[in-house]
Amino acid sequence: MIIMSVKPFSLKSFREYLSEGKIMASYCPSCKKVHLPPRPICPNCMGKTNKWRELKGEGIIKAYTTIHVPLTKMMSQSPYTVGVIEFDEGGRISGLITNARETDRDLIDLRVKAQIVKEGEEIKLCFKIIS
Amino acid sequence: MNLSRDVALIGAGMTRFHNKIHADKTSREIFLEATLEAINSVDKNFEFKDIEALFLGTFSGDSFENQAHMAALMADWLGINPKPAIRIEDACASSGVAISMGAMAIASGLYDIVMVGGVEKMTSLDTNKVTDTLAMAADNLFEVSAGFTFPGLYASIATAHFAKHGSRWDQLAAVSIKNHYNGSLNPKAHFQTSVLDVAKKMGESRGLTFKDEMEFLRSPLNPVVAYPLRLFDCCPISDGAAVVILAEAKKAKRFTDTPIFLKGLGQASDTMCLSNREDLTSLKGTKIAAQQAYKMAGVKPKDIDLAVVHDCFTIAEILATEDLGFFPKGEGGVAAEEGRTAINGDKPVNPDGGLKAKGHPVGATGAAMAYEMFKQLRGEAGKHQIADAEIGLSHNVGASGATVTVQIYGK
Ligand SMILES: [Zn+2]
Repeated sequence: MIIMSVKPFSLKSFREYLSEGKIMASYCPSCKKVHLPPRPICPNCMGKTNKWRELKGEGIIKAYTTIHVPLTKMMSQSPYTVGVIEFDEGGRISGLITNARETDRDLIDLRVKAQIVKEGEEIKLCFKIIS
Repeated sequence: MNLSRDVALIGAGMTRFHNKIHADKTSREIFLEATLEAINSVDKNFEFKDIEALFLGTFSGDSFENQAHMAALMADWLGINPKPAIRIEDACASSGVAISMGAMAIASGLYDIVMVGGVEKMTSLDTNKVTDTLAMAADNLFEVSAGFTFPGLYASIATAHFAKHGSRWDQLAAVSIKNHYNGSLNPKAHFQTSVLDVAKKMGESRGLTFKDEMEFLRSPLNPVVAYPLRLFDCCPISDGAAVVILAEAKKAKRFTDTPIFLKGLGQASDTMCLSNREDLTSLKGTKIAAQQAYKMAGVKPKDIDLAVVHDCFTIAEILATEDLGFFPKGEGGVAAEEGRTAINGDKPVNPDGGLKAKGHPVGATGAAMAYEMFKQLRGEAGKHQIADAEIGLSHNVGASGATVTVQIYGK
């Protein structure tokens, strides 16, 4: 009998999955809600979110901004665009939008596809506009 | 819920908020300045030794001045040892929360008189380092790592608000113009110049003329910080301190014939990450904290004669006026544009210039709001006095809304 190894609900596991190319959220079976970042307790019902759910990696932009006064570590990329992304399965996260550096069009509701980007030790979720 | 003993303000003091005048001082000296003014403002019989405890709101002396353990440091420099000193850190809402903590300490019966204050010395770091430090109030793992700055979070709220409610940048500009005008009436404000006068001054030195404020605000002289927020949509980086003295209501009469009473208070928490909020165009914490405060005070939004709200960015004032129930959701921008929140409007908001013009030394802001309530309700606000103000509301927000306090004051 093969027992699939399931990682514990931790941020370490989230990063490990990302490095394997998987965007994993936690799922609350009683609320039928997906939570990002994954967490062991559902903030909606306080119940245990006992399932991982893999997301396909596509969604829409719910809010965004183009930052001209950047964080020190982002100085070389300025101006850059960041946004709040809602995945098709539910669950939202913030991320860099890589192909909208300076744009005059409204980005709300545009479709994006996730990109997993490695920067040294860091692993980040970024997004590319596909619509 | 009610407090088991009533609480009153008997004194208040603040330094001017500014980016230069405190350059040669450290936070302990700035705080002492505000404290001495607060003590001198008590009408009668007050002595320094009457203070039984200090509640200090401060955000990040750790980063700005390499100094932690700030409450003990302030108590030491005020000479009030061995009275207990408690530091409260809830980002930009630090001293708003400190006021609630001070009030609760009195209500509990433990103390009769406490001092509550806030201080921040921000200008010891350059703008980029300040940007990094302020971003610490957001979720480091899931917002800052993505590249979000603090203005960036509110800018995102703005794009979502524009899309959902049809609000426009012109309405943000209306908030800025109003608050700069109000600041010009407030000797404690960081900026005491109207946008029109700034436009004239900056235009003259560059050989440019602007037909009105809006033309100036749309020009490159008002650069984008985080789209759609421009420089004049953002509060400045300021140093400053503010202090209020709270007393049990019956004891308060010993010190003044005109105490100002804390009628209601509320506080709520929300998700650290903006992305985890169901509605990105509203601060749920504001709604919940306001409901608590209104209920305790037995008043409704329509009863509020003036409000000081947390306008760290112009969009934040629009959100606040909606979430506090002054205007229906989505109509805060229109109300600002129509002048309803002006000093002579039907719902004056931030007559002191708000964070936008008065300045926002992070940890001092909540206490400075209480200072403004004390002055307004006693009719001592000078040029920016709201006539016949009876009931006032203050609203202090930590970061993008993870902490919110609302306090209601009355005569
Ligand atoms: Zn649940």
